[in-house]
Amino acid sequence: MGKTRLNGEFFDKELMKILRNQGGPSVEHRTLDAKESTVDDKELELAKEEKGILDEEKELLKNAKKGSGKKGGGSDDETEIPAKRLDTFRIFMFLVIIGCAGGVLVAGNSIVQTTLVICAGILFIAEPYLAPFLKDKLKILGKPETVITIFKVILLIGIIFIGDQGTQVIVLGLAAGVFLLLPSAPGLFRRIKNHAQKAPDWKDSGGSMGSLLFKFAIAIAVDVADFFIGRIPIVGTGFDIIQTFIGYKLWGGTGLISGWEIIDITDQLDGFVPSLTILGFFSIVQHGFKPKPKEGKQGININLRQPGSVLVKIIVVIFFIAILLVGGLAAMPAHLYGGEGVLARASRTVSTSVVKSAAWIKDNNPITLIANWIDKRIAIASGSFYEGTVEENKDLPLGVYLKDLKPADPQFWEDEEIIVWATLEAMTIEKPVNITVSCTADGVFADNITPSRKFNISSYEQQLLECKFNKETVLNKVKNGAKNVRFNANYNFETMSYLKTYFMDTERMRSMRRQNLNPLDEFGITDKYPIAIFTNGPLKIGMETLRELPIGVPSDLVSQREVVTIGVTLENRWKGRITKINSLEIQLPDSLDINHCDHPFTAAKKAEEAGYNKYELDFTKLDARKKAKLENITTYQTFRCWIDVKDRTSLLGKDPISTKYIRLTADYDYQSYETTTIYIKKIEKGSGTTGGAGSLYQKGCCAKESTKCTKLQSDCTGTSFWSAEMYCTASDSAKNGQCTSCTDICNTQTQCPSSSVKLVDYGWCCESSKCETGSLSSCPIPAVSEQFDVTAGSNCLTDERISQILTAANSPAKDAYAAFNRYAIQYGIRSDVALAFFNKESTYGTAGVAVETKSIGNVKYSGRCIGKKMTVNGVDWCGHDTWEQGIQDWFDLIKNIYVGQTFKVKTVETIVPIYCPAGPPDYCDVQGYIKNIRDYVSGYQTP
Amino acid sequence: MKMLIPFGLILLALLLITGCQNQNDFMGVNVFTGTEGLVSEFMVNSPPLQVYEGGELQVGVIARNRGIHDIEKGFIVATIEKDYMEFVEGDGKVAIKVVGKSIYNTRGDEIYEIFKVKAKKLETQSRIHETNVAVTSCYDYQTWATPVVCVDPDIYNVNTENKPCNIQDVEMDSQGSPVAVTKVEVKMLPSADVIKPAFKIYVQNKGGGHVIDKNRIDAVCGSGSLDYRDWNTVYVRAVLANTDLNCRPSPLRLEHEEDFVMCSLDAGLPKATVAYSTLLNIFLDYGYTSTISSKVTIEKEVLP
Repeated sequence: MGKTRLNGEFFDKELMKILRNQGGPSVEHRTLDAKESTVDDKELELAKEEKGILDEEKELLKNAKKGSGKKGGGSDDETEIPAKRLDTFRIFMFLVIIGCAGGVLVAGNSIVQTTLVICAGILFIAEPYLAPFLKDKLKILGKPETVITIFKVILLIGIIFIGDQGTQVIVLGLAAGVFLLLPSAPGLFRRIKNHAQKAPDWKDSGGSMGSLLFKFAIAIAVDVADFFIGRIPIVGTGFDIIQTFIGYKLWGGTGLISGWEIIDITDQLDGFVPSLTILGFFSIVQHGFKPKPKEGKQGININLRQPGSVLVKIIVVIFFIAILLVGGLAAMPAHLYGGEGVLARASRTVSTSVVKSAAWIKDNNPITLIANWIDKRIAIASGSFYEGTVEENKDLPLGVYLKDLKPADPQFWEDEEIIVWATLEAMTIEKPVNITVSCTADGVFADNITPSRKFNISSYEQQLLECKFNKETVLNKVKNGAKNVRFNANYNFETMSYLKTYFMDTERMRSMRRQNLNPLDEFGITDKYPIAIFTNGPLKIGMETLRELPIGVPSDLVSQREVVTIGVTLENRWKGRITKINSLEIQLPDSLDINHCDHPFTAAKKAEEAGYNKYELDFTKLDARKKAKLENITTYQTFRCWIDVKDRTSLLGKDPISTKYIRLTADYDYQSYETTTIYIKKIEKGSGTTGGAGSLYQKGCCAKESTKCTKLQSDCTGTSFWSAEMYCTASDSAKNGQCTSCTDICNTQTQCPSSSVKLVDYGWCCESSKCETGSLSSCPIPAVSEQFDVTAGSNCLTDERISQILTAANSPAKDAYAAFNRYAIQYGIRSDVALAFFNKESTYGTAGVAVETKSIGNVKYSGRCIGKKMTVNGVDWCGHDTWEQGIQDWFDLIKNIYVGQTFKVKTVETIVPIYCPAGPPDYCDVQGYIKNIRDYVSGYQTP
Repeated sequence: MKMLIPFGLILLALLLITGCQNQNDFMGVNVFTGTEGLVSEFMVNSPPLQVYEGGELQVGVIARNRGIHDIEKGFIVATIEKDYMEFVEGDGKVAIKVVGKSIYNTRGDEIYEIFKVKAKKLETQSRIHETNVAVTSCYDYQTWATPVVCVDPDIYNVNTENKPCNIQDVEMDSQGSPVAVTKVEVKMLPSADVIKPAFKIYVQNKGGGHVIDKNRIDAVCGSGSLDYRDWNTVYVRAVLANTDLNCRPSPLRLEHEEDFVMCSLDAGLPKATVAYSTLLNIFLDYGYTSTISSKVTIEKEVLP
């Protein structure tokens, strides 16, 4: 036969030869209708095994068809859909869609939507096989192309509109749509692919297998970084651009495909897709393992399209499905949202994602996690981290747990109250636990928590908490947008730990070891390297003896009393922090005695148990730095003690080997927290039943004429609408909530009565049309994402409030309360910030060196000091005769050194790293410090 | 009558045969074999695997003397974690005497010791605590080996005929004690006018415990200091034809896989002495100790 019939066309065998020369020994295509194929079946099988030519062939053949003036056959019966093979690019895109589906699910969208995304991926990959199926089996539905296109459109609509909304979905839907429609737009598809193939590929650059592995290592590293860094909004997009460039360098033109991640402006999806690694894999599939062989040499070219490669493909697919499953398990099923447009939904989802991501990153900051991990490894390697294991009561949920945080609604209007529920579960065995619960939305405290803010638990209790933010609080403090709602549970707790040690006469031990006898083996002791066992709870107490066991006890205690050193590590186990160590007690057998510790322990008067001596950490002898290190512990703290033998006979008894226990009990305050994200919708100006966009209305429920308005939205009638822009004057508000004229005043919280009154809660006086300086409105507390300017306000708290705080803390500076506002106004620095620093540094002057120096900020001595040099514990401090002077000195320091010319910084976020640096000499937890300041300032606003 | 004579002869022969049987064997049991001394084991469920806090338990020990030596001086001491348990009676240490195996008592005597112990209260927040109970026995012991050796002063083998025996090493396995004589090498050392018989006696600890100095038994089962010489020390005495040999080193210290002591008859034998076979009585005196242990879990009776 001189000619071969392909797709209803006849080609010269000469053309086939050309094709063979270009791509392989055999070029065959079959029509979908096998009956019409004139190609020998064996040749077809051979053709299936050829690599890298079929797509080009198809294009050539299609071009040839176009050239012949025929399109896809002349009639329906002869309609032939090109048999698209399961090419690598198609598989890649399928995996991308699957990965994105995982991201969608993790981002909080629904399973329905995720399923639709997966369906899109499956349709994409199955399309070549679906078409003939439709043609053969479901002719009644019409043309296969039409049916498939209808399917695609339905899926696309489903993804975008039936799902749970948001930019992620829109982006994903569009991306899916592009790829779904690609087969219908062959020109675009071909151009992209041709461009990628024309670009130099990895093997053209030469290199060895080693360099290939190196490239893979880089690809994997970049993908891992993309998972963490790439999910930070905006930063992620920048990272995607860099990643695309790296992809090009690694894999040539194929690597450019990783640029698809730039499209995901939310940066929440593409992080789940390890594009560079996949592309590397497919690049190898496409071009073989070996770099371009040198002329005359034939390298071994492993073709992953061979049957063996199927396994590899399956592994890759399973990998992505695993990601999907993990993501799915971690995801919270989303809730349905009502009545908003696509753009509004997109905006909300983006902001919610950003807030959620920020909260997640804050809790799981990979850099911090890695730094902490490395820090811990170094500590372990250097012998300054001591292990422990939880006692057998590990199954008992000792401690306080916050669970099942759930907002009453995933989104609220800014004029309605916010309700968030949580379950508090607490269990203790010995000491009662006093729990104080608080709830904040972006740092603003809730108005009410039911059934109570405080609980006293003596055994086990479970409470359903309801945290409520009033309408006014939402409107004026929390404000609209995505907000993190955080439940805090502050409580006291006690953790006990004990460490087993073995003692033996030194000479006996030596004599046994000389005979190659292990003393512990000889007495059937299997626990040869005991570590501390501690009771369950948020604190881990690790203890180890720093000598090999058993510990030898010399007969001559005069020349050698100190026999053992124990190391103790206090480590935070839970999500939260150890806010304060209240007491630390070491119990030693009465035959032992503490020689010294690197923290001051003193003998207590009476031990709880006979045969034991108790030693307590003496906080009064603890210097400020060490004391600070025992507060707000988010990682761990370590100390050591050196132990003497006091009574050898009692210690060893009559036994060949004596087992003794060293016990440690810590009483501490802990703060657990859990967070959830809500979205507060802004009420659009003029969006009521009347009025139009751009109109100016007063705050309140205003009639159409906008001359009369009430305060609450609930007052609105069918003919009025809600506006939140302006406020009634004080005099007006006295008239039963009805305004006659609307002008803005400084009081945004409460309607003032007709006469002047001092609002203690917020610290300003309000007259009919005048507000005195120092109102709360001039002391905003910015969101966590914003910088906290210490110069934005001055006398932010009333004198009464400051006095109340200092008195409650039993501060020695309580009589100097008025100095805070006085110097705040004089220096232009916020008084509430000063008070927060005072709390942080010395618990309002009750602890540490401040007791002696009367410095509210533990300020070291310098030429600037308003006061005198005072040396305590070998450090020169700026000391004062009176607390007033100490308060002034702090304001002076901040104003003239920090805000002023020396540092030129004026926010808490920039001041603290200088004030209390993370490095020497202070080694502060800078982020913790900043957070403390913010928390304290927020707390001052809640009486 | 004629019939009675052969019957009587047969009976006499039987008596003779029976009378000449090895004294060590009785009813086919050789008591002078084995490598065990005092073998201790806990009684069933004593101590129990678990006990509630505040509850009492018994640590019961069965000690069987599976060797041939009668223990005249020995101790059994129970070691407990005194932070979590206490003895109800006594201090956990008792003196013992246990008769060993003999042809009349082929299994050896056994004694029963019970230590009454009380579990203390656990810490408030603890649910369980696993503690170790160990029982150590320390006792004196002796190994008696009686190899038959050939003493032949004719070291140049001048007289090749009519020698009743030839010099050869004697391999041995065990003698019913944890420390065994495993081999005796016989040597005839020429001196000026005499020949000195010498015996290289190999000694090995084949038991499951440790050899201690017989004079430090009390200390080993106590908490006092020990010297390295208190471990693996064996006093060796060898007697050849009622004459004590001179053994070096003395005492012998077992520090290797095979340790040996050289015992010689310093007075020597005349070179003209005719070769003869004789028993070499070897006595090894030592102390011996071994420990058994068990875990006891103390549990809170009522969970909070």
